[in-house]
Amino acid sequence: MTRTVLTAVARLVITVLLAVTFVFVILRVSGDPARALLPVDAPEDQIAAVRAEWGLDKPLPEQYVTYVMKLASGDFGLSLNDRQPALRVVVEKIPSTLLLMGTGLVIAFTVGSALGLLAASYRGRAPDRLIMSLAIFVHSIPSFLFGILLILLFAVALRLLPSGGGPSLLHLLMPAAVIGLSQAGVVARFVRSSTLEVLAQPYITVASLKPLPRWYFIRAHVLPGSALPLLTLFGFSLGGIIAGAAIVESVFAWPGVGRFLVFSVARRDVAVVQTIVVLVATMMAFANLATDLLYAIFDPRLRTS
Amino acid sequence: MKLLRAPALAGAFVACLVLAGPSSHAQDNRPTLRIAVQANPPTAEPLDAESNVGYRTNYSIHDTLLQFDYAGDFQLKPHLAESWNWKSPTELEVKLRQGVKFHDGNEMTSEDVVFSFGPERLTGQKAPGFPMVRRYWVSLDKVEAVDRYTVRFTSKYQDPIFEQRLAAWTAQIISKAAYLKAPDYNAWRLKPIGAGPYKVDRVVANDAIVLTAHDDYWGGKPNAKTVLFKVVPEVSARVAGLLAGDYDISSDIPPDQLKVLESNKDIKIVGGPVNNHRVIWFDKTHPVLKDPRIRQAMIVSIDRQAIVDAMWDGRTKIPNGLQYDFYGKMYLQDFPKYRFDPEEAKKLLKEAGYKGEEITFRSFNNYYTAELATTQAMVAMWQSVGLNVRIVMVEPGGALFAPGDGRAAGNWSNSALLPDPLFSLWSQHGPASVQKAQGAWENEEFYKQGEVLERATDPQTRREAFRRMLQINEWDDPGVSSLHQNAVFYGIRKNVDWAPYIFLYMDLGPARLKFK
Repeated sequence: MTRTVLTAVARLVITVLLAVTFVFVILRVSGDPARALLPVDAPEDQIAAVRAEWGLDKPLPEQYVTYVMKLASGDFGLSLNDRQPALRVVVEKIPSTLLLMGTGLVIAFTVGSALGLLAASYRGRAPDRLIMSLAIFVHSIPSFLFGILLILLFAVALRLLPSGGGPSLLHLLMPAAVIGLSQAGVVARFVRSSTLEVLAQPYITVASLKPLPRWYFIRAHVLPGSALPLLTLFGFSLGGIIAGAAIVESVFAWPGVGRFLVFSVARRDVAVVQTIVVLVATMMAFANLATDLLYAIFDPRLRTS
Repeated sequence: MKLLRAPALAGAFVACLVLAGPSSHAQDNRPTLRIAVQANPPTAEPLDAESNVGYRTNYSIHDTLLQFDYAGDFQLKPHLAESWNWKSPTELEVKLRQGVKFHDGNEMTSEDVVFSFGPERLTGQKAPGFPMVRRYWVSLDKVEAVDRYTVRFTSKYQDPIFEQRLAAWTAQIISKAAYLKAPDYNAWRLKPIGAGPYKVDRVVANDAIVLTAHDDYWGGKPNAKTVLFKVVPEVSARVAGLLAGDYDISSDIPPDQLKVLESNKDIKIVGGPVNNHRVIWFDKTHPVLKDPRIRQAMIVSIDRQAIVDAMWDGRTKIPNGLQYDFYGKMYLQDFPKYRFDPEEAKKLLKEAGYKGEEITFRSFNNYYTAELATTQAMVAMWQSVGLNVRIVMVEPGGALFAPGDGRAAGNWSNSALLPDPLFSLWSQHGPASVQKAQGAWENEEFYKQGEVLERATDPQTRREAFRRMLQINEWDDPGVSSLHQNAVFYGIRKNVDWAPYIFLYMDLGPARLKFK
């Protein structure tokens, strides 16, 4: 177990360092932050002054070393946009995004698992076909379009929910539904196939001979086997949800990190983008670590090996 | 038992409130004005927020000494100043309005005015506002307090538009005491103390700016208790939010959405052409465009009316030259309108010996409204007269005018920051312009006439200089050509009584904003 943790931590550090380096290079070669900050027709001396003020006039390797050194000491720099500490402006938006993502994940895995199990139970029959068609539909509809459709229905036509803004529970429902339901389609397909795989196992044939209620049979014998692959899916989903959050947060004016990332990339706000990437990469690496550890806990075969 | 006690206590509390009668402080029933905007400025300090979105929010926070009559003839009128008069050709004495309160409760005095224009904040080499000086305050020599309510401005030369500068951007007056009390400039810029009708409650990056009523405002109590500028980047979400009643005003509604909103009985559209032209620029050093006839051919082969009809639903104007009718005496009403003459274009190309050489045209991806569609339409128009134009996409973070890579022409815009051509034609195309700095366009005669425009005090002399400058820049040796005036539209709920000016400043003061 100790070795697993150490390997995962080492992988985490390498992942974060690679992500930081990649973003640092991409942001600087794809455009000039000083020009992005100033009006398109700003005079050259004003642009030069901004470059000098922010150290953008120094050679790229020097900028990189300075940046990594500062990062190691916990200094994420100042936002080019409003000159506030980048870490602070990012961190104050994290709770909103976590709330949105968390709710989205809960919706994705509860709705998706239930539908997947149901589809597997009715394999090849009408409910199975309906659920699988629905799963493909909700996953393939762009979240931008899905969001607008929900707004038109629930905010404009029915006036049941606010069209955007937040963060409050009422404001949360639609964006979380968009994130959750589009992922629920994938979860449903995943659960269906893993359940069918489990149902074909000899131990299930033996268990099915016992006089057990159907719900108990599924809970005690089918679910433990079919739920394990969901851990892998959970790790992947997290990345997809973060990417999707950028779009959904924009559509619903949700004050989270995803929308802030899009805005900051457009403004070449290097400090903020780098801060978000470091935090997201760290979170992803932790999620992978957690997945590995959960595997080790829940899968007896891995535990004994 | 505890469960029973709670409602009893609550009942007693309510009874006490009822028996106590009306509070000494009347309940504030003023509504919150909720405005959905596409973006907000990064701070509330005008010195670092000059942009279209900055104009929108900052005039609610800060006031200037003088103000243009935006709703009328653009003449100057008293604002934080009561009166002003010239003591000599270079000395302007300004009497301040007495009893003006800043958001922190302090009274505005001449010390605040001197400080607002002083070296610590604006004019010093290390002052945060110094980059703005060249644009707005080239003629300013010094500002002195004469007495508690009198200030003297001294200019370096007799500046024909000095008074107008006192009503422009960067002329906002802030509280000296509050500025010096702020922990640092970074803290100040998020919550500056001005004398406008609303004070800053909070600025949240890429989310919202929240203002609250400054009830001691010298112009009267504002009619909104709170103003929320909520960032809703997606147009469809701004439109839907307005339809759903989540916002009172949605800004920057594109022309193709206007009819959707107009069909709703609770919503109206306000707005129209603003103080900004969509223009195209030319590189006169380009091997093909160095012949002005090629540039002239590009100018006359654009069907501007078709662009305005198709992209703007006919709701904006095609000007006669890079000027605005609100220039007043400086407006050249008789300056020729743009022609659409493909035959002349073909003739000019033939005379210039054009043989189909490639001309690149730089465009952002819809930085300007309908930019890409407009560009594609223009390219089709140019191709129809035989011009071989290719679109090159650039990002706002890239250099629009950077030399090399076949630089030839591109999209741009031009704002009139004051009702005078000095602040549009001269500031954007003069010797301090980015066009000159990047070696794309310069013209000695244009510069000479610009100096006349800048220094001459006789209106007729200035008009003639301006006329010649327009003639050079738009035809003889084209540096730019205007396509149309840009327009900004707002969707607004009918219970809100508000209308915009031609300037992008949203006046939400007590005289301009009311609720039905």
